[in-house]
Amino acid sequence: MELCYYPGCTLKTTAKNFELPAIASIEKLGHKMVELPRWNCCGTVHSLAADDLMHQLAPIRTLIRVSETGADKVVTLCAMCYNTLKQANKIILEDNEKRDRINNFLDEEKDYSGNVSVLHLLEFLRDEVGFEEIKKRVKRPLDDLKLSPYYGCLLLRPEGIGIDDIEAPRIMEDLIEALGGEAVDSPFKSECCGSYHTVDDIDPVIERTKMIIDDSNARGADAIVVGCPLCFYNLDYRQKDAKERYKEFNSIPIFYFTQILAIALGLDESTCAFGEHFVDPRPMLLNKNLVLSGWK
Amino acid sequence: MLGSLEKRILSVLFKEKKTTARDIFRKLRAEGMTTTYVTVNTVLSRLYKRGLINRISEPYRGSFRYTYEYKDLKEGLISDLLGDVTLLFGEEGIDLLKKKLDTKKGKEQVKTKEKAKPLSDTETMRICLSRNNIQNSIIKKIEEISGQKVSACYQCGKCSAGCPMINLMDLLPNQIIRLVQLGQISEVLDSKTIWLCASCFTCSARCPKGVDLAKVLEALRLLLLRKSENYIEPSELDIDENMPQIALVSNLRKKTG
Amino acid sequence: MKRLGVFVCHCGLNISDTVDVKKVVETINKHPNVAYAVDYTYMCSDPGQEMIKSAIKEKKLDGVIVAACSPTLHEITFRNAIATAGLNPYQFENANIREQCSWVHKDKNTATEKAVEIIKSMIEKLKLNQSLTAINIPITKKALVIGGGISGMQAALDIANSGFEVILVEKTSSIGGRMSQLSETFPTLDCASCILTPKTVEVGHHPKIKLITYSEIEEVEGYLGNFKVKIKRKPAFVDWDKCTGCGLCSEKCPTNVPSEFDRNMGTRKAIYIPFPQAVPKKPVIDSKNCIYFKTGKCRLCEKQCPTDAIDYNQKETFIEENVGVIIVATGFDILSKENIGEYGYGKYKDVIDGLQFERLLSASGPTAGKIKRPSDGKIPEEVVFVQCVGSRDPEHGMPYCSKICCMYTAKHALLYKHAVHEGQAYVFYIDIRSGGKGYEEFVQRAIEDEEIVYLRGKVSKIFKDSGEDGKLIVWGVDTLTGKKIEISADMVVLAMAAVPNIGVKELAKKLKISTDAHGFITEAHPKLRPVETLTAGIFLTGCVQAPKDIPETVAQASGAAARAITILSKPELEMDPLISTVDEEICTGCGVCVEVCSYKARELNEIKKIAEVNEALCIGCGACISACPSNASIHKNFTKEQILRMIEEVT
Repeated sequence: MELCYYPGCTLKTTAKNFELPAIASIEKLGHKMVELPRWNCCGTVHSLAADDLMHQLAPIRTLIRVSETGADKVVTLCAMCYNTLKQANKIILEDNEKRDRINNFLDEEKDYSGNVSVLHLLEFLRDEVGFEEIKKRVKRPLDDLKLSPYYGCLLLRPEGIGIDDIEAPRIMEDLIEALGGEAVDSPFKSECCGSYHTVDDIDPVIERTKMIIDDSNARGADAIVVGCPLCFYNLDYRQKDAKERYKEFNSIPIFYFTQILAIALGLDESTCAFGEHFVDPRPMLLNKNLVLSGWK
Repeated sequence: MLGSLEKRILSVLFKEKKTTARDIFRKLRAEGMTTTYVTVNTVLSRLYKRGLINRISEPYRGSFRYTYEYKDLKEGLISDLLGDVTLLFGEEGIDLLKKKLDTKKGKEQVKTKEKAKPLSDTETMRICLSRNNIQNSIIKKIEEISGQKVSACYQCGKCSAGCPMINLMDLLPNQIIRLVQLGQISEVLDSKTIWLCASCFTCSARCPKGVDLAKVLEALRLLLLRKSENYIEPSELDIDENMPQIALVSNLRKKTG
Repeated sequence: MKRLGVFVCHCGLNISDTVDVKKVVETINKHPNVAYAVDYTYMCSDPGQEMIKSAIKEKKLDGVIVAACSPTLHEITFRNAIATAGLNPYQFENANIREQCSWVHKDKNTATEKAVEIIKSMIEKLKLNQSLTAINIPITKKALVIGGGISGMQAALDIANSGFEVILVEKTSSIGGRMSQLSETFPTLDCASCILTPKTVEVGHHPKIKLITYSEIEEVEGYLGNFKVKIKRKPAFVDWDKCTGCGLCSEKCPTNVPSEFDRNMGTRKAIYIPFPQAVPKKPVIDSKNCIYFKTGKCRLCEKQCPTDAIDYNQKETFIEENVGVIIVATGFDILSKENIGEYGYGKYKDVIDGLQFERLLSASGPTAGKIKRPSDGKIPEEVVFVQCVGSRDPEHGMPYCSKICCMYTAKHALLYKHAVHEGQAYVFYIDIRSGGKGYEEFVQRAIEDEEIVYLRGKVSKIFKDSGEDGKLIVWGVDTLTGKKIEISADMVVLAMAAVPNIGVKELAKKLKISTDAHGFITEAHPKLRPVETLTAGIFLTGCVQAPKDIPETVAQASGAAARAITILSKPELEMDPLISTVDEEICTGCGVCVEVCSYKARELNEIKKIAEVNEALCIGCGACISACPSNASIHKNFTKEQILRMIEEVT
C-alpha cells in the first residue's frame, strides 16, 4: 500500500534518524511512504484558544493537501504533528460552525469536511500491518534487549486523540515484544518530558529527564524507545545538562521505535543514523550482539 | 544610558543588596509602579547580560532559582551619567544639577512624612470580595477564550497532584483556577505557573469534572500575549543546532504573542 | 339540565398573577349550565374544600368543576371532598388552568380568555358524565420481598409481625447481604455480625416468613393486590432437607477458588457455605469449578456426607406464588477498581477497595482480622485511604456522591490504627460528608485521637516503585497548603463508588418499574414518596433506590413495610372505574380489542359472541377504544361524544 506521508519540519533535518529507518522499514514490510507534495509546517502545537481559528489554518491546509492527492489517510511520525493535525481535524468534524468559517476563510482552497484520517505510524503498524505480521518478518530478533517505551504526552492525550489507553498503553510494548525484545514497564512512560521549555528554561527539563531516565535504569532497561523528536531531544541531548548538574547521573541510549524496527527487520545500520545521537547506542548494541553489517 | 525601569530596578538592588526577581517586583509595585513580574524578570536578565549586576543560582524547593546581587559600579555609572550632562549642557548643566540636588534634599525630607501606601490585594493574605470580583468581565473573557466553565472546578486538586512542572511552580494549578473563580486575575497573571505549564494535558485528562485546565492556562497566557507582553525575548534565546524545529515553533507559539 | 358549580382557584399567585380570576368567574357565571361560580386563593385547602361542600348542599349542585392546577395533584382530594358532601365523585372535573394556562402564557388578556375556554370545554364533558362507583377487587394477603439483606429482612419482619405471610427471595445461598461482609459499623463500632445475626435468625425461624434462598425472580404478572410470581430456584446440588450443615463436605473438597464473599481476598471450596453464620446454613456446589462437573471424577463430598444429601442431578425448580405486594430490596455493590486507569487498573495487589479491607478487618475473614498486605502478608506501616474514587466524577465514573464512603473510610483508618499502633494512616478527601447522628464526632475522633492525617486533594496517580520491594508511590496534593504530596505506601485502600447490584435492570423490566440513568430504581417522588415506585403495589427500600447507610436503610425498610401493610390490611381494593366498557348491542365480537390490549384485560365471550372487559386489569389506556372498528368500545366518562363536544367548544 502507498501511504501518504506527512513529515513535518523536524523529520527532514534534526530527526533524520527517525525518518530514514521509518521509510526503509515500511518498504521492507511491503508498503511505501510517499511524501505529501507542497506540505507546510503544521504549526505545532495545537492552539487551545476556543475563540481563535487562525492557528488551525496551517494544519487544515495540510489536510486539504492530503485530500487533493486522493488519499483518505495521512501518516505522520512526529507525535507533535500527529497531535496538531488530529486535533484540528477533530474541530472540523465536530463543530459545523467552525468548519464553515474556516472553509469560507480559505476560499482559495477546496472545502474540507474532515474526510482525512490522521494516523501515527505506530497505529498503522498495529492496525493495518499487524504485529503478528511484523513478528513473522523479524530477521534479527532483539533477544536480551530490555527496552523501556516512553510515550510522552501528545501520543496519548487529550482523551479522544491518543493512539492508545491514556493510563496503560500497550502499543509500543506490543511492538517491542513482536520484535523479540523485552518491554520494561515504567510508570513514567507517559509523564511529560518538559517539552518546549527546553528552548528557554532547561531547569524543568533536566528534572524530568533525570526522573524518567533514573526510573528506566532502576528497572533494568538497556534503552528507552520514543516516538517524538522533542522527547528524543530532551531525553537524549539534555542528558548532557543532567550530567553536569547531577554527578551521579547514569546515561542511557535513546532509540526511535523506527530504529529498533529497522534493526529487527535486518536492515543496515546506515538506515538508523546512530551518529546523530548524543548518547551513542552502538556500544550497547554491540554488547547485545545485535551486530549490524558495515560498521566499525 | 539606562531605561527608566532599569534605573528603578537598580535602585531597589542598591538598597537590598541581594534579592530575588519576585521581591524586586513586589517592592516596585509597593512604590506604585505598574509593571509585571515578567517584565521585571526580562529586564533583570538584560542587566545581567550587560554585566551591570550579578546573578547567582541557588537551590530552592528541590530545584533552584536565581538571586540577583548589586554590583558596586557606583563610580563608573555615576561618572557616565555626569559625562552625559556635561556633554549636553556643559558647565551650566553641572550648576543646574547642583541646584536640583539641594532642592531635592529638601523635598525628600517632606516626602518621608507622607503616609505609607496601602497594600494591594496581591501583597496581603486578605482578599476583599464583592460581586465585582465574581461577575467580572475578565472571568467571562477567560471562559470565552478557553471555552471552559471555571465554576465547574470543585477544587479537588487532582490536576496539581499529577502536574509534571509542579516543583518549580509558585502557585498550584488548582490555586490558579481558584483565584480565577475569585476574580484575582492580576495575581494569576503575575505567577510563574502559567508559563511553566507544558501543555501536557495530564490535568485535562484526569479532571473528574471535565474542566480542561490546559485551555484555561492558555487563556491566561493569551491575556498577556495578545497585549504583546511576550514572556520571552526570541533574540535572546540560546539555540543549539541539534534542537528540533518543533521545539522552537511550539515554544514561540506558547510564549510570544 | 345539570346544575354545575365552578370553583376558580388563585393558587396563591400562580394562577391569579396571569389569569384574571374575577373576570373568569364573572364570564363563566353567564354560562347556562353554571348555577354557581366563585374564586378562592387555595381551593385544595380545608376552607377551600369546605366551600365546595357547602355550595353543593346550598346550591343543589349536580356536578363540580375546580379550575386549578393539574389533576395529577389534587383530583383525588376533590373527588373525596364532593363524595363526603353526598355527590358522586365522578361528577367532578378538574380544569387545568395552571400548567396548561397561567404557567405557560404571559399575556393576561389571552390567558384569561383561554382559561374561560378550558373551563367551558370541561363543562361540556361534565354535562355528559355518568355517576360511577369504584370497582372492588380482592387482595392476596401475602408480601414478596426480593433481597435478603438488612433492608429486605427488616421489611419482611415488620410485615410478618403484623400477621401477614411473607415470601423472602434471596439470590445467594444465605441471607445477610452486605452487612454480613462488614467487620464493624460506624459510628458505634458495633460488630456487624453481632447486630445482624439476631435478625437473620429471627427471619430464619419466623413462622410467617417463607425463606427461599439461592433463587431469583423469573417472571412477574398481575397488578396491585394480585401479583403472580414465578421464582426460579437454582440447583444447589445438595438436598437441603437432608443436609444438617455439618460442613464435612467443604472440609474435604480438594478445590480452592477465590471467594466472592471475601471479595477475592481469600478462597473457598467448590462446595461451600459462604460464611459461618449463614442462614440457612446449607452448602451449594459451584458447578463451574467442581471437579465432578468438569471431569466426572472426585465425588469426595458425596462420600463424606453422613446424611447422603449430595445430589449431582438436582435440577432448577420453579415455584409459583400469589402475592399482594412486592418490595424490592436488592442492595448495592461497589464499582470495580479495574476501571480506574491512574490507580493501576486493579493490577497492584496491595491497592484494594473498601469491601476488601472490611474482609481483612473481619475476625471471620481470610486473615482472621489481621491487617496484612495481600502481596506478601507483611503488616503495612503506611496506609493511604483515597476517597471519592469513581464518585463525584462525571468524566470517568458516577456523577453522584456515594454517601457512605467518608464515614467508612474514617472507620477503616481508625480500625487500622487500633490494630497497628505504630502505623500511619492518610486520608485523601475532597469534602467530608458526615451528617448522621454522631457521625461528625466520629470523624473528629479519628483525626484527633488517632493522628490520622486528612489531606484535602485527589490522588492523581498510584504506581509501584522500581525494585523487588518497590513501595506503592501515591501522588496526591494538599490543596490547603498548596503542596504536592508524595507518599510511599505499603497499602492503598480505595473508596469506590456505590452502584446497584448486577441484574437490577433485568429485574426492573420484569416488574415493569423504571430505573434511572445509573441503574438505581426510581422512586415515585423523591421527596414525598421515597419508598414507592410508580407501579402500584411495588415498593422499594435500601440501596437499590440510592446509596445510604444502615440506619436510613432500616428506617426505609420499615417505611416500605408500613406502606405494604396499608394495602394488605384492607379487606378489598378500590379501583378507579374510569375504564373501558363494551356496548353489547353494537359489538360484533371481532376480537381486535383483545389483540390490542397490553394488559390482557380483554376477552372474547364465546357464548355471547362479544368482547368483555376484565375490570380488575383494565387501566383505561384507551387503546381498545381507538382500535374498535364498530365504535362498540366505550371509555366511561370519556366518550367520543364528550371529546367532540369539548373540541367544538374550544374551536
